[in-house]
Amino acid sequence: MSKAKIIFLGYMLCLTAAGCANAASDRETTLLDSGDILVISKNNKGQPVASYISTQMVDSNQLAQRMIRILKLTNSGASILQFAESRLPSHPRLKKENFTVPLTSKDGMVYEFMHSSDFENKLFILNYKFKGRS
Amino acid sequence: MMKSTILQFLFLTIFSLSAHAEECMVSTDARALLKGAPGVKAEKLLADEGRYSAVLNNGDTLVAQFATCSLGTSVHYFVVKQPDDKQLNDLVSNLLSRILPSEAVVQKVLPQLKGKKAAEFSQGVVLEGMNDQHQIKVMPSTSPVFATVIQYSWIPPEH
Repeated sequence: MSKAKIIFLGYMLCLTAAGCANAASDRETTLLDSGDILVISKNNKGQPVASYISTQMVDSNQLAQRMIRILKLTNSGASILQFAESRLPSHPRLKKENFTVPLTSKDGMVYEFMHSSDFENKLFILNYKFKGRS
Repeated sequence: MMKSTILQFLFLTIFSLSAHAEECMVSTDARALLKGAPGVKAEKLLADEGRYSAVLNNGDTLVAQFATCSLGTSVHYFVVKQPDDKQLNDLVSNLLSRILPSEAVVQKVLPQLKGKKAAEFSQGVVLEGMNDQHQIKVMPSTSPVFATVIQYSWIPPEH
């Protein structure tokens, strides 16, 4: 087999095999119309992680919508999405400046959100980690 | 009686008007900090809200908030890949040269960064400007998608 053919085969394999995919392609950074930043990525175990970065504080209902948006974009199951949509908007912990909210699906999967507020430096971050089976 | 009520009303009106006017005597102009910088993938300036955000090709991300009713600038630069001491110093220099308002200030402030390492930045470094100060603090990121965050705060001159 010629050298060119080997390189070509290797290239084709890379196109199909996930392992050869550009690491950056696993990461999607979106600059939203509001000026906020949404980053969706995967950790070194291949599990979904995300951050929503803003310089402005929002109310608990808007935070719930951000959390639901992240669950949708990371292809979380329909049942956890339904659970989140019914429970998050009225969840009392979302009214706190800093909180951790783990959501557990019927099959024991844990989806964790963490929010931190820094009023002095104007930074509000919502972090998300899919933690797998509890 | 009537006279004193009118006087009271006038006093309150004048006082509240002046208090309201004083509330926004100053504001900080929002600027597109990374406009025209190499490697910028997307940026957005919302001048009325005093906000600016930018995303770089390498995934690094910047958000800035300019005080709309006082003097103040807060900038956060999120770094994807953990920088070593030299890379961090270069990043802080580049960032400051974008944030600082004039070439003269850049010339005064940047030499103060010489030899500064991650350990010092993590404690917070205050740099002297013309009659103001500029603070840089580098922290591990709480976000699972970034390694480090560089935080800049402008310390305006005292009145």
